[in-house]
Amino acid sequence: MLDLIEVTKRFDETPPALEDISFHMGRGEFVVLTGPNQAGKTTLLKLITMEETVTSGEIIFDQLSSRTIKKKQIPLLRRKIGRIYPDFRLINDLNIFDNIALCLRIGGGKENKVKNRVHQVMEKVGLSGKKGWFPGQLSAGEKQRAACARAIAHDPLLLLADEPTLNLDEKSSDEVLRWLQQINLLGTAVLHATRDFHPDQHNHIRTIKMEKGRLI
Amino acid sequence: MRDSYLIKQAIYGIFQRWKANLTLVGCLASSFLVLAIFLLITLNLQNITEKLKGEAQIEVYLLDGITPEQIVLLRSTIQGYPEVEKVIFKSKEEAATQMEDYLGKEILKGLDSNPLPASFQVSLREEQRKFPIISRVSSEIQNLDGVEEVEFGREWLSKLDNAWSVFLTVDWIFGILVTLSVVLIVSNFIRVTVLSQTESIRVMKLLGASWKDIHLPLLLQGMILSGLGGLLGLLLTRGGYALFPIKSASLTFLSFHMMLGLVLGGMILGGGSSLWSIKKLV
Repeated sequence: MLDLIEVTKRFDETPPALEDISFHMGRGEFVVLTGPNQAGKTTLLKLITMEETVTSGEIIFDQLSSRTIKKKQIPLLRRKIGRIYPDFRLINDLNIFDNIALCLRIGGGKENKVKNRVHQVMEKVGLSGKKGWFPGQLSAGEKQRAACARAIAHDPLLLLADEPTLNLDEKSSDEVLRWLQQINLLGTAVLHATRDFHPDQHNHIRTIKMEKGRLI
Repeated sequence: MRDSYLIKQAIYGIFQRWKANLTLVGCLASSFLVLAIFLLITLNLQNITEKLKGEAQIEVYLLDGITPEQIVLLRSTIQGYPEVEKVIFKSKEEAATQMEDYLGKEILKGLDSNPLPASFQVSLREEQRKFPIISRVSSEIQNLDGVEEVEFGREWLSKLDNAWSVFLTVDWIFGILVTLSVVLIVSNFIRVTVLSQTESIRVMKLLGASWKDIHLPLLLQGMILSGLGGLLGLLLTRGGYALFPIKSASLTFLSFHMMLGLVLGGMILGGGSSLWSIKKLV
């Protein structure tokens, strides 16, 4: 489903942000991408969603290659991916319902189906009483739950979670991690980028370690 | 995104920022008002000019002592010009009767003979009633045998033609200025809207929003607001026209097609300006 083949990314003349990265992820797999700050985790996720272009090498996601993909195909690729950001990236002008509905609407879903699905995921993340609330009225934990709901509402093939627990307290962090595992059990592949990973607690999960733009 | 949702978003966006949008519509309406007033003046001036030109005739005065055969020949020569529509002969006697009708029977009393010359009244075809053509045909008739003098109101026709050219030029200048003002007002307004939504647009793009998903609501907003500005400008012009103190049957308001053209033109301009502005920012 996702293949990275000798991927290198350079910004200007500086040393490469990523160098010679290769790995494969299958459908429904849960992979933790771990490493310290500046290891290149976020850059890697940006390359997968084509926010950045690959300098050399190739990324293939669901038969779409970074070498041959056309500009107008990029939105289609992104619709197959769910994203969770450390800063949530909710749209402040939209209420929680509309924020969660965004991916479904972008995908062209019919309004009654969108409503049903949004109510369903809001209930799952425990936000059903707050559909008319705006992001500014929610706690950090609630915002991240809303972001999670948005990321999975359209049943993506792959969920990219970039430091989803960074701004959360311990209780909310545990909730989000539990959530990621539940999403994965429903068949969505999860690539979880984090610097706070404790392998002893998750010894059954595949881990990819990065440092200074390389896999170690 | 579904088109129905994008249209709903465009309308929602207009109501969400209604105060700013009202200001925008007001600014656009004032631009359209200026254009509509000038169009109205031009239209009525054109009607008056056409009417005056329609009345423009060439008076051909004939030499005393001209024979009936010469008159027939002269008439057929003048009638043969492609520019000429009709030629009416006025004899010396008819001229005298006409003068007496206008100025009274006393005017020619005491004169030994009728001093008024026989004449032709020459009317040109409608499309030929322009100063340079009337002037040229007059000169040609002047050179014909049996013609004493030719008159056609040279001065006022020339002035009318010049005034008309000036008005058309000013119309063009106003048209260009209003077009520029609509483009600048709408593009700057949409630019501010886009700037205030930069983060939202960025998030939408990351979630897979297409070109249409991002551009269509803003394009529609630009078109709707410009259309409303045009409509309001026209309504104000119509109101002003209704209150205009001078009433005359020859005064007309802009035709339905002209009004439709103004509003649709405004909408196209508004939409184009929106796209131009978004393209520079997104």
